[in-house]
Amino acid sequence: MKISKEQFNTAQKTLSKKGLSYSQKNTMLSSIYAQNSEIEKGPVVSPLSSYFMFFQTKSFAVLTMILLVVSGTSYASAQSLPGDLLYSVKINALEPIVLVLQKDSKSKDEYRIILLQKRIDELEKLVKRNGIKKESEIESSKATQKNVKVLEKSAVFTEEGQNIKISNQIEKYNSLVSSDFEIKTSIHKNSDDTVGREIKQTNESGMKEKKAH
Amino acid sequence: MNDLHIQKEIKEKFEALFQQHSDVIYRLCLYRTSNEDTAYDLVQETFVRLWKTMSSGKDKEVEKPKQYIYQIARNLIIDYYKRKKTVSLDQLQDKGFDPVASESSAELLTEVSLLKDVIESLEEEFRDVIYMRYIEEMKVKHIAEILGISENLASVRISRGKKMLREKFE
Repeated sequence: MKISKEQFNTAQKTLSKKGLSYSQKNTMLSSIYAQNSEIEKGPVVSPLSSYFMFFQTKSFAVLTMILLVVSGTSYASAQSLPGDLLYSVKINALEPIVLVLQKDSKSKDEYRIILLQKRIDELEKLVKRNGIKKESEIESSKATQKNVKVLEKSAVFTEEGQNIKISNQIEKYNSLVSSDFEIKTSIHKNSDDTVGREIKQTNESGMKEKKAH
Repeated sequence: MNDLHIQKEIKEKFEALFQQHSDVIYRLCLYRTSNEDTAYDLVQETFVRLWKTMSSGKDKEVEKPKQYIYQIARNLIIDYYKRKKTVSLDQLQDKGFDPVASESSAELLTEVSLLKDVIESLEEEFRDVIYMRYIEEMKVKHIAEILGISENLASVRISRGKKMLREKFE
């Protein structure tokens, strides 16, 4: 493609003279502002609802976070053993909550027996791991005593004055801890035991009263 | 300083940029598209985008307005050619598009296409600088600013491009 320098200069002058007229510029500016205001308008959403939407999103995120933290902590504490950081959460928060949720006193006692078995399992796990430390024994003993004391009050005994299931568990427990932390309770004692007999008598008299009615 | 005052300031700044650059951008679009209506639409779209950026509080993005405006216009021209490929001339004429609108525009477009043919025959890196220097008669400093290159490099490109351009003359 060959052109003369004059042709180039003429074409350059023609093009450089070209521009938007005053009215074209004004029309264009109005059109630009109009287009932008249309974009700004967008869908009609009341400021209140947008506030709630923000609030809902935010609160949903917070709620999810709380749920995650709580469920994570609960899971971790449920898996904890005596001496662990979260063990007190398990003993003082998780288990009491489940206990409260039990429908009647019988279910509550059954759950306490489950807890007694759990304490034994925990100690067995500790034995397998590194052995039982004194701090672990203290924590475990406190937790066990709490349930056994309640179980004593509502225990149902055999004709011989013995609650076989709990007795076996307590014996098992005592075999795992040192003598200082053994559970001393009347439940596992034989019919000669005074407390056991008293409870048995109370239960028997209660039954007689019911029959008379 | 309240919001209303800030908006007013932004609007003034935008209008100053519009008055300063709209003609240059119009010529660039006319030169690239060889169509006055398309050039007008592309200029409008360029400044719509600039106004959107500035009015939405992102005016910090427009630190180098000349460069920014040119970049938008160039992108729009590229988009225009991409779209054009997919639409035939017959389809456009059916929609009322007139490739040659008037006698004066026909004359103008002949001159434009003459310039375009010569400049587009140069190597790619020289086309923009030659257009800006010899069609828009811009200073080297401004060319460098728009293209985001050093003044030195812009000068070198202009010098080499000029030499190549001379070779195109009869």
